Amino acid sequence: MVDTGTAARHSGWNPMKALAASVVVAFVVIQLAIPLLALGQPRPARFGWQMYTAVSSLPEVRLEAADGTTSSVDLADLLARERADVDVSAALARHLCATTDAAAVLVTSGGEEERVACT
Amino acid sequence: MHLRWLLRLVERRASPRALGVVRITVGLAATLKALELAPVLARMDDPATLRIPYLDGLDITGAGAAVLLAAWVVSAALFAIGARTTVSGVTLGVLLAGIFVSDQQLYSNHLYLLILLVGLLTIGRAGSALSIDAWLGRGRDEVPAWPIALLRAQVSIVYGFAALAKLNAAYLSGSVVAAYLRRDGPIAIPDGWRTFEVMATLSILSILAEGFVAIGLWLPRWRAAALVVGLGLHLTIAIWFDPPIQLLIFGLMILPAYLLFVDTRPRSRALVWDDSCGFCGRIMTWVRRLDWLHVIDPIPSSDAKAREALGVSQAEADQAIQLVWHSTGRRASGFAAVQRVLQVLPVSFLWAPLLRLPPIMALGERAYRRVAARRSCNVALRTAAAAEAQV
Repeated sequence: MVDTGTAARHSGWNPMKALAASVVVAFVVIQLAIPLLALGQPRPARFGWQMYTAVSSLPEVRLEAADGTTSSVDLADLLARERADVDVSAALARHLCATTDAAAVLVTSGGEEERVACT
Repeated sequence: MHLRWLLRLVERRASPRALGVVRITVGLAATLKALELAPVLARMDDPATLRIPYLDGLDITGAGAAVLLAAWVVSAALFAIGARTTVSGVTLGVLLAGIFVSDQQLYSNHLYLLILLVGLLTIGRAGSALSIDAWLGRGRDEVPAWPIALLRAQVSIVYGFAALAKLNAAYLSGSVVAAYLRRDGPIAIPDGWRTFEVMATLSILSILAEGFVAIGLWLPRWRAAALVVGLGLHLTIAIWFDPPIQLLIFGLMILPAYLLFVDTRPRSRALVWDDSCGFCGRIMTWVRRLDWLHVIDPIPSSDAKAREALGVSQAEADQAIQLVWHSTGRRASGFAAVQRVLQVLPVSFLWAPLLRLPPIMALGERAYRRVAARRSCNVALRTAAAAEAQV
């Protein structure tokens, strides 16, 4: 490490130094542990500094009416912004059930379709 | 016993000037980030927009996009200029954190990093220099060094994990790079170039670059190369990746933090210059103006006592400028001295190591000798007087 600091004028621990040391240790441990754990999750995981590590697409969402007919939903009209590292599926289904008269919401993600019935 | 290194770390003090430079750029980046996120926050105002809060009750976007953005921009601007830096830093940090946790759609690595940087700069008393606070007499000559160490660690963590996270089959195949490379405009990458060989090579190079920056910044031998690689990496992704604005803001946030790795101790290098030369005087005026970290200790060559204390003769000073490290007595002269000075100026420290490349160094030396020989000054008169005295 480059020593750009100046020599310390005092030595020995005191409460302020102990607090500073605790902050240093806690910061480094947390900032190493969180991205380390994120490495085990699908890319891109939040808080993992996983910028540009994967190309993900948003789920396809359709509304199922009471008579069984379906209509697609344009997510661009619903999302504040499109991010691959945010799982919007569950929240989308809840939101669409609450704001439309759909009987169910069909969410297709990663080739798998999930049907969420609106009760 | 084992915690002695930790005690030394928390006891150390450092100059606040490099921290001040980082504060200014992070404040600017925060201001630009507000403008970039403005449309997103405006959409959050629309009741039709989906909300995904981390926890109910943490949503502060209900205050309205305009109010939040105004508070964000004002606190970021105050933080950048260093006006009531602790207050503006705490305000900005709390505001950013509040917005960050109010909805999952507002997550971005850049915003997360911005919060961490603002927090560490505020704790590190980054308003102690190069700030309105300092101008009003509320500055300090020294600040605790441990927040600077944490900022350095954070920079390495970002690059290190960015590299590690890319070690997967999808990224190494080149498909991710191919997807993000610009498709529009005059510098778009043609589809014909998006082959496996080219894209996979670019992917591997990007991982190597990020990994090298993460480690190289800590190693004196490799630091200069790491600065250049980091600059090249950010310029490349800002030019050829989408979206460029976000990437430019990211570069503005993190690149100046490299300065915290550079040895910029105040007045640590003496620069002996020819004060009988008008051209040299104009150059020195610019060096003083741009030496925001006060690293350079200018010594006019006519100050015989100071010059000789550095072991520099009048003939050597007449021939070329001499940069002398106070701590070791190490010396660089001519173009090498110019290059070493540029390496500690905030405006040039990232690209100045490129001047050490052999062809550039050779050209620079030649150009320096030519300019030095043609400068209008009293060297010729002094040389003639010295020759006369010897006769």
